[in-house]
Formats: sequence, C-alpha cells, structure tokens
Amino acid sequence: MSKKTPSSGTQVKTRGMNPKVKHAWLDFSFVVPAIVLLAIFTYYPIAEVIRISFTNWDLLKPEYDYVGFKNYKWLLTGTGGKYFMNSLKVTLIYTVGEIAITVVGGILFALLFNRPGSKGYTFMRVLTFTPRYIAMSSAAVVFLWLYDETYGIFNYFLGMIGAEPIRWLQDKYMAMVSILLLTGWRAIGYGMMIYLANMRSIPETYYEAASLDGANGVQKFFGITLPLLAPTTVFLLVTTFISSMKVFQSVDVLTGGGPSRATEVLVYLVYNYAMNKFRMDQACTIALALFAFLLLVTVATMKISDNKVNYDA
Amino acid sequence: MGKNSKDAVYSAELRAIRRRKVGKAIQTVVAVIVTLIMIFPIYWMVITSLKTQQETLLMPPSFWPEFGLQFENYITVFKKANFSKYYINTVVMTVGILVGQVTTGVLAAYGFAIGHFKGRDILFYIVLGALMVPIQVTFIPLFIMCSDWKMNDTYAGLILPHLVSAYYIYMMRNAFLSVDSSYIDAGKMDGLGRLGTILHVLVPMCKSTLITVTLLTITSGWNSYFWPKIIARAEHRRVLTIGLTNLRNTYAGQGNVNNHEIMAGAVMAVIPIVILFILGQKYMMTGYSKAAMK
Amino acid sequence: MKRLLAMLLAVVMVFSLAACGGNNDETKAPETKAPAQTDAPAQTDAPTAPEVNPYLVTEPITIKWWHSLETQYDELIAEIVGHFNDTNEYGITVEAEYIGNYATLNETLVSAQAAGTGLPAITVGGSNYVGNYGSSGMAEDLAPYVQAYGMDLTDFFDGMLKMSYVNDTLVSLPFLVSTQVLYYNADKVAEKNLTVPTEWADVADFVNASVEKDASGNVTFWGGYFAGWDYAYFLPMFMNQGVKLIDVENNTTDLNSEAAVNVVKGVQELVQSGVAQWAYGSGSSATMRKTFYDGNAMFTVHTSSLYNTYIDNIAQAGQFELGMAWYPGVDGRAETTLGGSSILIPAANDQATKNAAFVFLMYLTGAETNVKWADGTGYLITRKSVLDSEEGKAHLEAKPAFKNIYDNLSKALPKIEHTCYTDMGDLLKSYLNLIIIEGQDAQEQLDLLVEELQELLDEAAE
Repeated sequence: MSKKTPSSGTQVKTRGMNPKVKHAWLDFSFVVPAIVLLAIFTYYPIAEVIRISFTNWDLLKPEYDYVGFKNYKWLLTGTGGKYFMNSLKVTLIYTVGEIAITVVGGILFALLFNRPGSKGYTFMRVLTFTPRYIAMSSAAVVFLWLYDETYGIFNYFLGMIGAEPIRWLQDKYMAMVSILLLTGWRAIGYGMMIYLANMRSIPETYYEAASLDGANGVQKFFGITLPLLAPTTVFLLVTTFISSMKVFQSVDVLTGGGPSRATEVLVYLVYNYAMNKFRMDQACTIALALFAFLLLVTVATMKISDNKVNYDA
Repeated sequence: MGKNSKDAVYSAELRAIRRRKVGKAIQTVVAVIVTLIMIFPIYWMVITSLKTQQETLLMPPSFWPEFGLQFENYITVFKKANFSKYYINTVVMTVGILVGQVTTGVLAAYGFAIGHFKGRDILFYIVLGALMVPIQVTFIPLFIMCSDWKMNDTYAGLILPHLVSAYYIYMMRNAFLSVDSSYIDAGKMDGLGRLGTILHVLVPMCKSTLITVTLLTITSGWNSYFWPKIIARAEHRRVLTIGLTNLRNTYAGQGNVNNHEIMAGAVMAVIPIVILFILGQKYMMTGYSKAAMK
Repeated sequence: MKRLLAMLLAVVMVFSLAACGGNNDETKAPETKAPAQTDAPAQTDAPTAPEVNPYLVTEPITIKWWHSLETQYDELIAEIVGHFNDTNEYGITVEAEYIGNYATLNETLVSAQAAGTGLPAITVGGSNYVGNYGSSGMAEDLAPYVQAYGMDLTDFFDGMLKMSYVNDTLVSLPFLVSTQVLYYNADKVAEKNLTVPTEWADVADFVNASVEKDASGNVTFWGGYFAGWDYAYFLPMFMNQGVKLIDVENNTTDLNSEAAVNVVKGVQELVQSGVAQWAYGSGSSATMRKTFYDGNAMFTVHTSSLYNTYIDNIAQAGQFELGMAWYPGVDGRAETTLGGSSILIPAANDQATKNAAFVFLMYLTGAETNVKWADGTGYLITRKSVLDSEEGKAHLEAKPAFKNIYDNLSKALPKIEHTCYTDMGDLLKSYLNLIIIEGQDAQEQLDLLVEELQELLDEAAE
C-alpha cells in the first residue's frame, strides 16, 4: 500500500523502497535527535535573541511592543554603550591576562617541571595540576577566604614581610588581578601539561644537531622548542580566548562586577540586565553584540592561524 | 703540556657536570616551592574546614587545627544548609545530562561518520556551528522557553538544554572515522545491524575517546553554574555549585563569619570530581593532549 | 584543528542566514508575561454583598510562604507557622520556604511570575522591590480583602503603612520593618564620659575622642565603623543635609551639592586619618560586626533588625553593654528610611489560594504574632496597639534600647519611588568607596556620579 506521493517525488515510504534510499533514511534517523535538539535549544534561541532585541520587553511589565532599533541606538549612543564598552574593555583585559598566564606561565612551568624519569617531578606535576580538579565554585569561595581583608591568609603573609595589607577585591585595580590569580591558579597547570605533552614529542635528534652546532640551552629553546610548539600555543590561544570571553562565575562570586564596574565582564553585564533589572530587550541586545564579537574574533583567528601555523609539525 | 691540557679538559668537564648539578638542585628547590604555593589554597581549604569558628579568626593564624579536628563542621553544613538535597539535585542533573549527551552523541556520530545520506555534510556543519553559540548568549530565550513549559525549578529545566553536545558529536565522529572500514564490514558479515555495529565494533574500538569525552561531560555537568543559577533558584532544586556560593547568605545570614563551614561545603562539593579525576587520570591526560594535538 | 576552523567559518555564514530566516517565522504575538488581573476583587468593591464573602476560605488547603529569614530564625518560624497550622479554623496548612536574601527572593519571584508557575501563595518582599511588584500588577490589591475581613489598617504606624501603597493601591502590608540606627559600646561611652551624638556635626569629635592607639600608633579601638556595602546605611547622612537624592519632580539629583560634598569629606577625613573605618565589599559586614562584638570599635552604623544578633554575639565576645541610638541628624532633622520587608500576595494565583493567603497574612501581621516577631528578631513592632499592650510593655522592658527608636519612629519614612533609586544607591556606593577609602577628590567624583546618574534619569524619563 503506497501512500499518495506528492508530485515533487520525494518518497518517504519504506516498503518497496530502493534499498539504498532506505539505508539513507535509516542512517539519517541516527542524527535526527541531535539535530532536533540543537534546533530547539541552540538555533531557535538565537533567532529569539534577535527578535527580543527589537522589543521593549521588561519582564516586570505585563506586555511588550516592537520598538525597532531603539535598543541598538541605546547600545551605540545611550548609557548601554558606555557600559558595554566598559565591559568589553574589562573582558579583554581579563582575556589577555588569562591567555598570558596559560601560555607564558604554562611554558615556564613546563620547563621547570620537565625532568623525564624522575618520580619526584611526576608527583610535583600532579600536585601542580591539582587546582584544575577544584571546581570553580569551590575555588572561588576558597579564594574569597584567602583574600579576606582582615582574617585572610594572604594579607597575613604580606604582614609577615612587612607589607601593607592589600584590598584584594575592593580596590579598583586589584580586583581584576585577584580574579586573574584565581583563574590562573586553575589554568597554569593545564597549560603546563599541554606544553609538556607536546615538548616530549619533539625528536631528541633536533636538539643533538643543535648541540653539535654549539647552541646553548636558551638558543635551543627559542630556536627549536618554541617554534615547534606554535600549534600548541595557537590551540591554547584560541580555546582560552573563547572560554575567557564567557567568564562569569569567578566574577559573580568574588566581586559581583565591582568595585565601580572594574570587573563587570560582558556576560555579567548581560546577566545583570536580564536577571536583576529584568530588561530582556537590553540584555538580548548586549548578548547579540557579545555573540557578534565572538564570531568576528573566531573568524579572524582562523584567517591568521591558517597563514602562520604549520599544523603538520 | 699535553698532560696539562688533558687535565684542563677534564676539569672543565667536571665543572660543567658540577654546574649542571647545581643547576638541577636549584631547579628542584624552585619546583618544590612552586608546588607548595600551588597546593597551599587546597591545604588551607581543608584545614579551615576542620577548625572551630574562633580558630579561623585567630591572628596569627594556626596552620594546623589546634583545638582538634572539627569534623562536625561537615555534619552541620549537611544538616543546616541542606547539602544532602544539593547533592541529590546535582547527581540527578549530571546523570540526566550524561545519558542525554552519550545517547544523542554516539548515535549522531555514527550517522555522520559511517552513514550515507543526502545533506549529511550540511547537517554536520550545523552541528559544528552550535559549538560557537554559548549558552551565555542564548540563556534569555531558553529561560523564557523553560518558563513557558513550566520547567522552572525542575530537573527537566536543568537538563533539557544540555541533552546534546556538539563537542561530544564532533569528538566521537572523528573517533569513529578513524576505525578501519574493514572492521565494520566484518561486523556486517556477522549480521550486525547499525546499533550492533555501534555497540560491538565502534564503541569498543574507540573506548578511550569515549571515556575521555564522557568524563568531560560528567565534570562539566557537575560543575555547571551559569544555567542552574538561572533556572533552578528555589532552595529545593539548588545544585551544589549554587548552594555553595550561597552558603554565606543562606546559612549564616547576617549572623556570623562562617568560613569554616563554607570550606567544609567546598571540600564536599569537589570530592566526587576529585575521585573521578583520580580514577580516570589516564584518560583525562590523554584527552587533554589529544585535544591539543588537533 | 584547521579543518574544524574552516568548517566553523562555513557554518557561520550558513547559519547566520538561517538565524535571520528563523526570525521571520517567529513573529508570534507578544505573550502576556504577567497574568491578567483577576476581576474578582472588583466585584466586592460594591457594598452590595455582605451576605456572601467571596474571600472566605471554604476548603482545607495547603499554601506556600516564601521568606528571607535565615537559619537562625528557623525555630521561631516553625513556632509561628506551626501555631497557625494547628489553630486556624479553615484547615489551612502553610509551608514556609526560605528562598534567600531579598535580592535572591526578588529574582526568584519575578522568574516564577514570568513562568506563571511555582508562585507562592504569599511572600515576603524586600522594601526595595515592593514598588515594582505593585506597579507591575504582580501583587494583589489587598483593599477588598481588608474590607471584607474588617481589618483595621489605622493600627499600623503611618510611615509603614505608607510604604505599603503603590499609586494609591494597597499592594502589601508591613511585615518585618527596620530602620538605620547607631549601635554603640555603652561601657566605653561611660568610661570616656562622652555623649552619643544626635547631630551629624558632632560625629567627628565623637570619633576622635573615642579612638585608642597603642604606643606605635596602631589603632586598638576604632572611633567608629560605617557600613558602606549597602546604600541603605548611608543615605540618611545625605537626606538630613537636605540633599535631594532624586528630585522626582525635576528628574534631577543634587548629590554633588555643597552639602553632599561636605558630608562625604567629613567621613573621608575620618577614614583617611585612620580613626574610623568604612566597611565596603563582600565580607566587610561580617568583619565590621566581629570588630564591634569584640569590643574594638565605638559604634557601627547598621540596621535595627540585627539587635538580637548584636546582643547574642556581644554576650559571647566583648561582653559590654550595647546601646542603640537614632541616626544623627542635622539641626534636629533626623530622617531615616524604613527598610526590611512587606508581605504580599501574588495576583496570579487562583482565588482560593489568595483567600487562604490573606487569612495567613492577617495572622502574620496581627497584633499577637507581631510581638513574637519583635521579640524573636530585631525587627520593629508595626502596630500602635501592640506598643501600648501588656506584651508590648514587656517587650520594651526586655529591650529598653528600642524605646528611643519608637520615640523617633515618625521620622522614619518610606523610600522615594523611582525606577532609578537602586541605580542611584549603587552608584553612590561605588563612588563613596573611591572617595572615602581610596581618598579621591570628593567634589570631582560626585560630579562624575551626577553626570552618570543624570544620563540614567534622562533615559528613564524617555
């Protein structure tokens, strides 16, 4: 019994179907759950974010209207723009900081802890990596305690060496440093492990050849190790960049965006407009700007990295 | 003369060896100090969790609990701050996400790696595109959606948006692609269907990738913070990450400084993940380096 | 990696088109996010139906009550709710649920409102938020219920009752009300033979006379400790100088006026010269209290609601006598703002739930329960009749420090209703941190503040 088939000719029946077509449909059915879920929970919301950005939706008000580009105007010329630019700046500072710690710190740690065959060093590497295991939520409250102005151990240590106590989270400039210390504490061991794994894969013969040419350790590092680690560095750069643009939790727990918006990163700004001020429209507009920025940077990174890096190394 | 120069070479070599030895010693000293600094916060977390409230505020601070180990801090947090509830919620959420991502991920990976159908590549691009859409951008419509579906403060609300992971599909597809087609053909000869091929051929052969990616799914589920903070606010649906950061308000209120209890909560929140990491150490490490090699 | 990136690039284009396409399909009509106001209450405004009370609870029902009282009050809540559950004649069972502080409760409530599910039958609302609940139609108009049950509103203190109205609609009733006060170490005041200042102009002298330093110049006893982490605590400092935080009529602010600058400079000098502290940032509240409890500071500027906590902790720590004074004013003008919480009923619930909620509301705010709250917490008595009753007298005997507060209570006023009020407070908070702790120029920073606030005010007025 074949159903009526539309004139377009796409056949959806199974019986009497060409076995090849049948196989195709069955194969296709395996990706359907994933595609459907992605459509509902990833792509549809993006369309919604765009739609909401054209409304004046205040969750506290019973209704909303479409207001054209009002929110975009607000983002470009109103107070939204000022706070958005501030958040963009703050986020970029954070990003640069986290990348520097992961990449530079990672390489330094990799060099420091690199001693093949030593059980003691293996143990120390494991310990150094351990902070990665401490979830951000726990790590953040631990650092909150370490940073305590009066009873915190950090200020006690500073006092021991005769230094003035630091207002870790209340000072406009220190707050970002404090957040970066927390992030860095968790990230640096990760950077180290990734660099170590790739350093070990550099053939020993390269170094032997360099030794014969009379190169010293420093020259070998800059001449051989660093260039051959370039793909690793780019990998860390891109992944760290994308993850740090989305930073939220450490800021939420440690500073709440303060003091004086000095740590108000982009996601925190979006969250604040959405869940504290309940201005869904403004929050969506900022979220879109964040999204556009992420896309832009990803595309740019692709272009640059395609030219510069030899992936087959 | 000849003898002298020989001595000179010899002593130069000795000096070089000694210099290397000194260098190595310095390296070890620095490495030990750095390691100590790195683990200090963890030590301080554990040690504070075992102190009395009075002792946490001592100046100078004590580096070992001097008034006995206060294990009752843990019991207090469990009882007063409802930590048992947070635990259950976190476990249910994590298991839900895990089952969802493994099922949808493995199936889709098969479809994209082994299957043949029209539009396969375009659909795969669509999956990859999802990698670039973070929940931090889409959470507002998701929140509204879940609200419309009456899923605030429910497990469904916590889990649904995370049922599928593009990353999981991408990793498993690559793993499946690396399996030589002769194995799959051999399976077909033995009468294996699609699901049979996945279960008896592909999964066993890609075990390490599967475990690695699944471990990442578990940890990211367990540690998730942003979405639970938005969708599950009510006390009875709070997960550990949210409950923990709320300990300061929730439990102590305006009452007291309670860092000893907060630290006890912090320790309890990480223990399951630390155990998991230790058990899966091998896979986590290969996972990280594999990802780096990509 | 390269392949992945290349694919992503392709996808960006594909799906940015898809996203726009999707948007076109998605022009669904705006949904009503707040519930339609139930029409039921309107019927009863007409004085025609005394025979049938539509607000009567007819069947046993279980309802949820959301509150913000932390664990230290668990027993008190269990007692008060338990008593209601056992004794009410309607078979109402109340389940109390702690949600979080007022801010968390606000987020949770608005989320539930948007979701249209999971709303409590009755909830506490922080004083900063009640205005929003009222103007958005989220809170039920209580007037018909009050009328139906013959509740006497005039028994509430005037300022507190005023706080319960939004645009002349009664959207809440006073629940746990507090105001800013000055806690002081009465033993030290006596020892140094000082008087607690009632005028802001005398605060500096009081601080300087109180501070104690050791031989090497380190402070051992702080002259004063100001709460700077929440704007509620320092706003009276400006209000009493005649500073208009927000001039609602002209939509301006004069927070950079001479009076404002001078009052800030005064505190700045105290903090910068190292005789007083300005508590700012997370955890600073706990540190401030700990310092005071231990007997290491002369006074704190804080909220009356924590009176019991102060007493209990001082008994364990510094063991001195606690004094509580009204906020120092200017030339006898000593206004404060009312804080704490009101109690309200979400309008979106069905009538039976709302009816039961109102019965519980009457119990919670009733005279008998009110004095239990006042005894068990540091919050104020809200009813005039209670103050004059036997229980009220016993209450004041147990807490004589509150006498002073009730004498001044008429000076405690509701906050200004303005959408930018919270923005104003938060801005002021962060600028005061810059000025008072970091020592930046007061005039310069307050000018910047006014500039920033004015932009927000203008935008809100559009």
